[in-house]
Amino acid sequence: MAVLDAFDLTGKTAVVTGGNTGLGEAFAKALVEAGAGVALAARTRERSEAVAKEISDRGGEAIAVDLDVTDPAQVDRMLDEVTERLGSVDVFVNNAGVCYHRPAAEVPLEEWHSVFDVNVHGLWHCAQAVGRRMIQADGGSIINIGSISAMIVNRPQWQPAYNASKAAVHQLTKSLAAEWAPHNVRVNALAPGYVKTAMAPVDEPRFRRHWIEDAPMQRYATPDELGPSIVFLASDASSFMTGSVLVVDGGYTLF
Amino acid sequence: MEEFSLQDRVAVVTGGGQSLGLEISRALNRAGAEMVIAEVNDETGPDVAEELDGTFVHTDVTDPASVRGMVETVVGEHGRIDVLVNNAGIVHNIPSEEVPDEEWLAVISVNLNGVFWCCREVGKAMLERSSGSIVNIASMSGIVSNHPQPQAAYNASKAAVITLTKSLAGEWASRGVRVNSVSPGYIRTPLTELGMSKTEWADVWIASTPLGSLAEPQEIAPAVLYLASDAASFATGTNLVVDGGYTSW
Repeated sequence: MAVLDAFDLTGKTAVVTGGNTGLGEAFAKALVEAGAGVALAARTRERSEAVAKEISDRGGEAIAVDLDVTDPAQVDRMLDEVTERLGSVDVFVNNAGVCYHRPAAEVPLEEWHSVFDVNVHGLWHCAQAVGRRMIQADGGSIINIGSISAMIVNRPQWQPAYNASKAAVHQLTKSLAAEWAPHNVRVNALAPGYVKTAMAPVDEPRFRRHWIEDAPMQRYATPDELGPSIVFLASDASSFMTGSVLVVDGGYTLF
Repeated sequence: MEEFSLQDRVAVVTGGGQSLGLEISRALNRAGAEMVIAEVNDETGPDVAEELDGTFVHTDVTDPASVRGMVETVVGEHGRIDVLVNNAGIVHNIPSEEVPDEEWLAVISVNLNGVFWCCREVGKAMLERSSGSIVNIASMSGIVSNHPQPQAAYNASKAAVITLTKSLAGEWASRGVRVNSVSPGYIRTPLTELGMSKTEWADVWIASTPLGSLAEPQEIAPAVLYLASDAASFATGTNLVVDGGYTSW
């Protein structure tokens, strides 16, 4: 099946930040299924080891590596380790992110900073470090996890820092894409709607009115459902695509 | 990776006998789909249908009766339509102040009305089964104005396709039918052949595209397959831009 070959990632090396839980775990597993060797880069080593083992037990290639994206020094160290153990990085998924629900007037300064430290600065550290290497290697695909929160204001919960941080991610995606396109380094974003994870308690009745009923599809997604989108963005199937934001939200942003 | 498979699905591609439509048809077929080439060109349509072991149905998308006939034929022969790709499109490069009425109407008739007639007729059949995926080929021209060549009708028609896609997606989302669009940048097809032969156009096109080249039709087809298949089961109303970074600038 030649067209499916375009989605194949056999022999490629991928890194997923925050790759040991929620969406990141699903992304990592989808990349493995498409043939890639994947590094789960996260703070909680034990959890990463468990997911890596689960993947390995089923015949896939996955390793656990330590990474706190807010510490720039750790990023290069992590990339060195991945390169040594799996090969040079072809695909990098900037997935690590945090979100706090709080009205703007009540957001403490440190909470505001912590959101930007992870969602924007952490993503920047990773993108810059891996981008340098991909430019040297003359190619690569970086996928930033944005959000519908960059396009609309979520409700009923207030999350001003998260929303602003994801808008920054979308525009940074376009900036890096335009700058690095001549080096064959593609940079795109995935903007999910509501997905059932620890970060988004979609089953809580108090969120149903807006999170579910406001979405044209009248449902939330499972993390697994978004895996193929990452495979599409990571692979040659999207070879002419850069600077794009792929919205997968059950239609949420339509209304 | 089975999410990308179209095994046992019936797919209709308008303009499927030529250019981008041909590569889309080949891609969907390679993913397992049973192909219907809905094409106005009676020479290329049957050839492609034969190549893909599919069916050719002569279809003029500007004529609602022809579209209705196509849907009846396909549903009659195949029982259903799982995937519709509205690909048929034309472009005229005429300065707006000089565009004759019939040229404007011709472009809108194929690019916008044709998409709606096909969405409406195929949509009905899909809604009956509470299942289906429609992919409309829009264009980055629905987001930005191309230059230096004039093509107001094309640009306006493609913007309309993007918004029509979102409107239908909103209406049909809770009834099992997804509707998305792909917005390509410049692709190497007969549609851009004239422009590429003129240095003053081609130079601007290339220089305005960060990736520095035109897309091959084969580079757009996988995006259509992604949206058509279960790989994009939570995506509806999405406009997937595949433009080599053109709209980043």
